[in-house]
Amino acid sequence: MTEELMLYGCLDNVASAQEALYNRFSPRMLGVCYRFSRNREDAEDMLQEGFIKVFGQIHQFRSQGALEGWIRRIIVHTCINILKKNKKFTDSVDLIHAGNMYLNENNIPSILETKEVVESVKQLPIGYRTVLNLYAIEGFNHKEISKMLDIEESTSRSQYTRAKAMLEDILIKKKIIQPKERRRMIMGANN
Amino acid sequence: MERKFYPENFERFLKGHADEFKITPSKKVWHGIYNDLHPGRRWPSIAMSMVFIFTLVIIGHLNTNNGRNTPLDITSLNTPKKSKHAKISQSLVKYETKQLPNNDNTANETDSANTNSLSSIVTAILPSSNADNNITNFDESKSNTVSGNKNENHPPVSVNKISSSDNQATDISADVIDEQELASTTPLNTNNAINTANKTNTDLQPQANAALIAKRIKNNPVTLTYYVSPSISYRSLSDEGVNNSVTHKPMIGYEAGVALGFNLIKKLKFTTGLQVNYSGYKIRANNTHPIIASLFLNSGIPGQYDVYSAMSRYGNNAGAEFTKLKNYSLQASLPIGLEYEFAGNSNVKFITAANLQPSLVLYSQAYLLSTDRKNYMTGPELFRKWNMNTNLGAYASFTTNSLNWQIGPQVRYQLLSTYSNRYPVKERLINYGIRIGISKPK
Repeated sequence: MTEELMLYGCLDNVASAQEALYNRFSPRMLGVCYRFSRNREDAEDMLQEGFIKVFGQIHQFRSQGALEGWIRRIIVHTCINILKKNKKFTDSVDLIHAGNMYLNENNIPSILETKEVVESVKQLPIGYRTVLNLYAIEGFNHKEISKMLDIEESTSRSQYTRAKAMLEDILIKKKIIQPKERRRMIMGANN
Repeated sequence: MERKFYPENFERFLKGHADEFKITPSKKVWHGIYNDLHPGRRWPSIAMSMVFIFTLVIIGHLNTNNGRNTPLDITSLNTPKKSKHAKISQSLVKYETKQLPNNDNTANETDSANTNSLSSIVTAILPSSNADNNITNFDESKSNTVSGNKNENHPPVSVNKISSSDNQATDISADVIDEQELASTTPLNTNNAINTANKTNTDLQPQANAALIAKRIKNNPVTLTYYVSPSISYRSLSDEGVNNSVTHKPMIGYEAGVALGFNLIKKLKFTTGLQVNYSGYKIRANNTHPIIASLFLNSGIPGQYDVYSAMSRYGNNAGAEFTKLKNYSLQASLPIGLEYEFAGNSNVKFITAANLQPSLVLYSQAYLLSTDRKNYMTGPELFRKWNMNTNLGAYASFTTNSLNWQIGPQVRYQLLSTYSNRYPVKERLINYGIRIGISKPK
């Protein structure tokens, strides 16, 4: 079914068109939800709520943009709204220091790199993780993030800096990337 | 694992991986979304749940009643109540003590007198054999006089005499009091007479009351049956050309209700009640670009038609990628019919039943085929609000665990077209179902 037909069907509240649209975009959107959530069950709850909003607001979609991008923005906002209902998240995201994180290398699954990167993101404290997801992956700027999360813009910046450093550390320990210094040494030796 | 260098652009590196990450959601996510978006289409599952709960409640209710009837009624029979019926009993007692010479030995004892009064009433209102049975259930020590005199000295006591002895008493007559009147609850009937007689008879044994109650229940001519019937719904179309050009599939329907049965003669019963039906069928259609579709409707003038046009998004050309549409209705009906027991023994009875069902359409959904048979469209409102159905069935009736069960096949046919006469195609629904009924045995 073409995207246009799916849209027409969804506008007419036709179940088969809605299911077709859902089948097309739900795997990637669940990946988005998964990065924001604690576990898969929470991610699926976010996905369900997000798609209900998508179908409820489908008449607001303007064909000029990409449908996937429009759906993704709704899903991300849904994830943030759900996270904000959790007091632990609110406390965490407003802290400059997320505390020390213990990384047990023995528990790191050696599977495909993409999944490892995502799992590494998920190992960040929830406040770091959310800001990093929004800034580095979803493309929001710090001003937008500060409004979305009800925090200071400076807090968003510092959260991101720390999140990035922590993630780099995790990825290096997982041997997915190499430290900058080592890379410079290798590149210098080559030169 | 191959060791990677530190990425030039860490954000791009992250985004690239994150965007590639996909997880297939579990089925329950879509089901949750679907149920939220289409609450009306949850009807079948809700109906099944309601039918299930309904069945459990009825079973529980019937079982509870079986356990409660006797003690409750005994209590009510033995509990003194201040009412004018008490005066009747008093007058009856007076009558007994004055008019029955053989009761001299016990006339001074209140208990005995009361027992006498009760026994005389029972003697008066029941056939002699029944009276015997009831009276012999009493405590012998309290009712020996009665049992000795019940047939010789108390020959069918005319209660008219009693009424003449007291203005408050009624014209209860042994001639008109039969077994059915035992079940009656009118203030001046024999049950109340018995009740009031019992008010002063604190020594009356529960067995006697239980016997009376059992008798009353046994003679109750009305049965109450709760039933459900899952069914397969089909439709028939009057236009063979239309019939051949569409792909319709049957769907699961449901029926649930309560039936009242009144014995007419020994094996024939008049039945009525209330029931709801959910039935319809599925349509295989295909999604199309929006297109104007037209429907020619009967105008009432021969040769002239009203044209209804509307946007359609469904084609009648279902291929591999088809869309399922549903035409269905929810109806409330008032069945009126007969049941006849045509075979059976004390364990199992075989009954055939037929009824007519005036029906009110409570909710409906219809996709109509356009006149050129190329598209399905919704509206205009052509659903017939009232309809008439008929039901034929046969079932086996048996009793287990103090419940009477009825199980058997049935067919429900819609006599009038689903749509009004303006729609040129006549459609009638047919449901083939299995009826499962529960009632309390008499």
